[in-house]
Amino acid sequence: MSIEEKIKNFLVDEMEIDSAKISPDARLKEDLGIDSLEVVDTVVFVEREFGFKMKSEDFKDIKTFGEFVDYITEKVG
Amino acid sequence: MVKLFRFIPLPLAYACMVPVIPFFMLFDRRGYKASYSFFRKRIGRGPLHAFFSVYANEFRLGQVVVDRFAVYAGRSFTLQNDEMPVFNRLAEAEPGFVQLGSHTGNFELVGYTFHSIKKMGTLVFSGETETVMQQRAAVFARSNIEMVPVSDDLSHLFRLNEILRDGGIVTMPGDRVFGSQKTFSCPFFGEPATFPAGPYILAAQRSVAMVAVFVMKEGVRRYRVFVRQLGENLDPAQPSRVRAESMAREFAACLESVVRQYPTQWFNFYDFWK
Repeated sequence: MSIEEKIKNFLVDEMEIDSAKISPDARLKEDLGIDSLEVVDTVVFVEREFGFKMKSEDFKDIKTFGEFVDYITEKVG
Repeated sequence: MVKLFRFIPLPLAYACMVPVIPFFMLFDRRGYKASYSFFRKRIGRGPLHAFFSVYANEFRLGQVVVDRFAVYAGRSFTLQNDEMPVFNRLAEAEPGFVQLGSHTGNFELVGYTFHSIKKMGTLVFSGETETVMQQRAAVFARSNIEMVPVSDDLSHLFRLNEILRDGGIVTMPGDRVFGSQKTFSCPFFGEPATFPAGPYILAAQRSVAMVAVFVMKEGVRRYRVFVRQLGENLDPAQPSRVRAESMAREFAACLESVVRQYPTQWFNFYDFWK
């Protein structure tokens, strides 16, 4: 399973986000409704699934789903 | 001013509030109405009894605030804590856990009483005076407690998450919605009330234990501590949101039970059920 698919599955299964809304340009906050609570959920998911710790500074620059996937890909790669 | 509390007898400090409280009842109408309605609708008291209960409620709040300043000034209180083994068992285990407070009694005394080798991160809200924050920080520093202020950049969430991940204790209110607007609706005094989803989801997502702690005033220098572990019988295979909601419901039930025992120590001065 690709990194993108893993993240998408997490958003759909754990956060109950409509999969049709998830696209590279979808904004995490405005389009997908990810608020501060889900940010923590996401951090825990990233630690568990990809094995590295996210910092609050990292999240500031991530606005869209595509940017989030790129960030994870870069870290894992 | 804090130093004054080192010398003033507590009953004298409490007595000074007696003539002041009617002014609060008169001018803080929102608080008065919420408190009066609580005693009428939820506790079931008659109009006159409810009126005097509001006075007692405000007086209790004043006492709790005075006691906090007395602690900042270095004075101590007796805490009857028969349920400490619950806390100690979790504090001695390797994983971290979440400790929930509420706007009842004097939860802040937990920070000065529950000593653990674990790091404790406690969520604090901005808006309190510099003096209170400084005094609190000084006392907390002696107890391995880190204050984590709520911030717009969400860094507080990352910090709390780190403390929990590293086996520490995270302390936050279980009865007040802040930051995220995600909530759970739980039965509370016979009607659904809104509780914040955040603390419960944090514990469920990390599969760590969660305890509710209540510190209730019983005498001039005496408090009783209640410690309840939440979610002990939940199936870990259930989705985290389901476990989180169950723990929120358990917390609401514990809170109701304690508030029924100490109704004048309910300090949410707004319509909690709205």
